[in-house]
Amino acid sequence: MRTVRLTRRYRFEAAHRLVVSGYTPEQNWEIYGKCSREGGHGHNYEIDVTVAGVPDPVTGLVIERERMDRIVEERVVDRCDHRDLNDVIPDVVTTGENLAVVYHQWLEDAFTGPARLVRVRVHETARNVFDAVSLPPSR
Amino acid sequence: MSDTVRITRTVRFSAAHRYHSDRLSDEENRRVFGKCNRPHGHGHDYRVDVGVVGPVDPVTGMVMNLADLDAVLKEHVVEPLDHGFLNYDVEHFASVVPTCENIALYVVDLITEPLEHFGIRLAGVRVWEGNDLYAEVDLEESGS
Repeated sequence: MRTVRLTRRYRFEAAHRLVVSGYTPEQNWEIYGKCSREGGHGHNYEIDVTVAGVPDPVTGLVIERERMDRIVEERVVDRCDHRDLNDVIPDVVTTGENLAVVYHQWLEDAFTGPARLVRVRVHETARNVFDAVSLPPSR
Repeated sequence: MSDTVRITRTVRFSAAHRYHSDRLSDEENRRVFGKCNRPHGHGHDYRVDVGVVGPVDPVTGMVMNLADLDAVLKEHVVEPLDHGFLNYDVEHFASVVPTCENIALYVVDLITEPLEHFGIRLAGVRVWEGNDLYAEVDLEESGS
């Protein structure tokens, strides 16, 4: 039986601001530049979620699209859309790197099988893309 | 010494399909496939990314002559599938639901052998149903 990876794209708009709490404005400017400005800014985020599995022999699906949509919308899109990501995720700086890791954590245990999560790709802009990739399954 | 490079070529075709399995009741078909189960089907402008891998020929500088690759893809993928209704016009999909996943697997089976005639190894196939959904088979990763 052959494994197929399926990737589906989701979108939301959100605000954020890149600052390390406890750093001075000068220190944050040094690291993040314009991204640290006090009022924050926003992006049209695009999130590619990739799952892998053997297509069901009857339905031909790795996962039912509606089920996948429900998971990603509940766990990621609804929590972030038109919100300030610094409020939603207060523990880490809301860089693309950290968002990819956090979304991967939010999603991972929802895809327990037969389709499992293999990658979350965050497009912050058309030029900035971040991948959080699942570790290979342990034996 | 020759370096191994993976190249990707994209081809496109447009086709109709319908998600329906004779092994499910009408009600189950509607529940599992939703709108995709509607009896008259619907269509997509499919995009297929085909990856092949091999050493770069020291003289030509190519992994594979793209004209040969194009000819394989045209003969085995585009011509048989373009502007067809996959469920009815392609024998394979009479019994297999033409999901994005199954189309990707089918394209792998269609072109693996023709590429071997050129001594070329298929590395993977990615089938895009639209901008927001694709299925891919990565033959390098699985090691098969």
